[in-house]
Amino acid sequence: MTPLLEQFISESRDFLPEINEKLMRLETEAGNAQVMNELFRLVHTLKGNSGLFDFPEMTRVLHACEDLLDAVRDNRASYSESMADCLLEAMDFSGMLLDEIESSEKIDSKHARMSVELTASLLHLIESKQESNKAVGLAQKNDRSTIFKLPNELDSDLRKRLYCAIVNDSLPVVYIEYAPESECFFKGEDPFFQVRQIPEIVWRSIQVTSPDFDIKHIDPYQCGLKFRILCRAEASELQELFRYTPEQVKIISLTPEDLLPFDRIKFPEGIQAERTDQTLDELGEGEVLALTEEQTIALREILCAQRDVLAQADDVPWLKGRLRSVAVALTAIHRALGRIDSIPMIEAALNDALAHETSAPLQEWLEKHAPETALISTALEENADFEPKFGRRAEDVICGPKTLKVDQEKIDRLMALIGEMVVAKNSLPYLALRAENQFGSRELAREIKTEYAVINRIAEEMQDAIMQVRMLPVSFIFQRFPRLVRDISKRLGKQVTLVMEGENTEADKNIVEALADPLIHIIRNSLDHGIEKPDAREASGKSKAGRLTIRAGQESDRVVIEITDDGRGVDPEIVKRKAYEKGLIDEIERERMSDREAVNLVFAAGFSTAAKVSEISGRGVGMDVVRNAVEKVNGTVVMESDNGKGTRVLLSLPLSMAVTNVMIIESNNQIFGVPMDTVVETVRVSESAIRVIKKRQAAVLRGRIVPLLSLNRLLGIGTRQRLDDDNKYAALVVRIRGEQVGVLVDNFHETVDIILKPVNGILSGLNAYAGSALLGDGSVLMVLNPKELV
Amino acid sequence: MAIDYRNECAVFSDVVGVEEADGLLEWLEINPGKPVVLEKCQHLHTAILQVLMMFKPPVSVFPANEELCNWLTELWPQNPGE
Repeated sequence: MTPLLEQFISESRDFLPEINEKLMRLETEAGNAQVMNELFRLVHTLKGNSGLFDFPEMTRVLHACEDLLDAVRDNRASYSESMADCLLEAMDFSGMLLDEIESSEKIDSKHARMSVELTASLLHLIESKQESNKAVGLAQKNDRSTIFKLPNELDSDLRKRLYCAIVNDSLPVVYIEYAPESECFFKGEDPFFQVRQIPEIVWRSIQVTSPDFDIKHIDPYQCGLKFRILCRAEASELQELFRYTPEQVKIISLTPEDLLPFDRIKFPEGIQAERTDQTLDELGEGEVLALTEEQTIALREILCAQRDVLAQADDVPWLKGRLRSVAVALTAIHRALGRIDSIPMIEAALNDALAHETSAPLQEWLEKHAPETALISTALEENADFEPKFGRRAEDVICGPKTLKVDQEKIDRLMALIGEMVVAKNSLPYLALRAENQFGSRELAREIKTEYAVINRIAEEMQDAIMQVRMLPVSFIFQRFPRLVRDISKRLGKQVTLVMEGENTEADKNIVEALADPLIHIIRNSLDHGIEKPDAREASGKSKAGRLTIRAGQESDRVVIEITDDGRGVDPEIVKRKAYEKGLIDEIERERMSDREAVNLVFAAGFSTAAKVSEISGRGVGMDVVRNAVEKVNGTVVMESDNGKGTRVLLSLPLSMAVTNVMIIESNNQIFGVPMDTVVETVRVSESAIRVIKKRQAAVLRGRIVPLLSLNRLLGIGTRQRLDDDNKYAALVVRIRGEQVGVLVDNFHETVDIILKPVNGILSGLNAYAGSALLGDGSVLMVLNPKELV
Repeated sequence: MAIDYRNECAVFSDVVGVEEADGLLEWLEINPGKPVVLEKCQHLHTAILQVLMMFKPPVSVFPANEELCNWLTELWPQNPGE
């Protein structure tokens, strides 16, 4: 199953209950335009979605629903309970089709007929406002309830042959009448090609139907043909063939009786003698017939229709015509049934009715003298039971959707709980230690450690699973960029091509959401200050249209987002000058600063290089907001620029922020935590390997010069860093803004997962600490913030 | 071209698509009574069939394709071809 189809199914499953709910709400508050509009939108969307796939049955029904709702919206039809029934039925049908699509990825063509009937009954509701649901019931009924009259041109030999084929060999014989709509050529249909696909044709006829179809005014692109075919294929096969145009096709499986012509042909002797005789007898005149089941149904229907006609209101000008037509129909029936003595009574009732201009006398007569009408109500009820209900009524088993929509708060709570559990499990190693040291039971200690390993594994998996729930693809925020870039570049008169890559990269919901604002700032800046106007670009030998690339990707446990433009870049000299003018740096810093550092000054608060303030950017609040927002979620932002060639902004963010992995270090007999995501490596540096460059310590590690700083000095502790037994310092190499710095500490300890609580209150001013956390033994661990510390 | 309009007849070949309808109509109007040769025709679009049914030009050779031939002989019963 393709992802698109999966999404379609899951979305439709969301839509259907909503539609049902709205339909029912409209029953009580029919005039509510807002509900109506919402309903229309839902149905419209659902129809549109279904149109993306090869599900003509579903699209057709939904299209009819949409038309009907549109009619209601425009007051062309009034919303009623029966209409709601019909619409609900259509939704149930769609639901059933969805079930089928989900299990087999396609819709069986056997539903085409149901789809057409539902469509017809829905459209019928538009045409006749006051029509009761009985009409719908009739429209839905099987069109095979009467004896079907075959075309007269069929010669009797063929009839006989087919009759024998059905009766003797029980082969199917199907009649197809296909009247393509006149505009069908414009839909790419070729009806003749279609009918040529019909297998085992025994009789065929092509007729010109269109009345204005003559040589003088012929429009070859209006289809005016009708195809009639008899074939020996199964009806289901033909339904499959015509599944896209079922409303234009009549497919009828013939019974032997259908093949008997009305002028009673004589069958040659020996062909199914009894059956033929019996059938022919039944069609005899002048006596009361024993009707076949189908004929009985037909009779009931005719009588039922007459009764319905009579039941209509009498205050119409055409009442007399109506009464006469009913009387004619009744007379004809009774003559056909051989009840000739009833005919004068019908006439009397008619005269009575005409004189009083009411249908009552005929109605009374019908009740009294046509016993079949008594059966009508029961027959209709029985039929009602046969109407497909698609097994989706309220009392039926609900097939739940496979995706859940969960309130974010619930997930957050789960997240908080698993966080606490991670911390709680950390107390087990301490317990093991106590068991060994305090109570001298090594074995118990070992067992506790084993248990800890198990709980640790489960907790980690659980944490991972919950994390997955919160993951969101970055496309969530990327999707609005094309519009943003289009609008801004248009306003600025610039041409920009936006390239987005890695939209499927996933990160925690909070992280993704936190990214939105910074990214918009960066993009605006790139468009406003970075990319030049087309003529300026041409002058500097670049293509007219600038290129803005947003690339997302995952690097180990971080999401990296790179925004690159090929604009004019940032001039480090201008940045330095501006920063100096605004007092952000002093003279010495200005001299000493590398170009790279200078470029990153744009992230300093209150900095703006733009000569004038534009409506898009340039108020000097943009870039430091970016840095703050990114750092709030433990991310980093770095800018690189090649003057004249373009700018590259790199955002790096953690995948998730609930649980932090920290390394515990020791200095001056205190323990501190250092976030693992900043730690590059831990090394032991012998005292002799440390060189002093300009009063600062440094060492060569892996071929690079790494400056070394003493943690004690950074924290203002007066003691020297302790050496280990081999006269070596413990150096923790951390990465700060893309550069490596060695921090000398006394000793390394294990890494732990903690929930970092930001320091607040009086301590919140201490930037050296990222936060605090509770350790398993109940002690407090202060977590350092290397960025601020160094 | 799926229809080759010659002096005395129009020769159909392969699949004659809907786009030929205009041309055929024009030719039939100018050349009433001239025959069509359908021997190599595999399929006619409904629009073409419709035009042929209107003008009923004599069919000098019916399609070699038996199934298509069945359809057309039904429509030109009085003209058994060659």
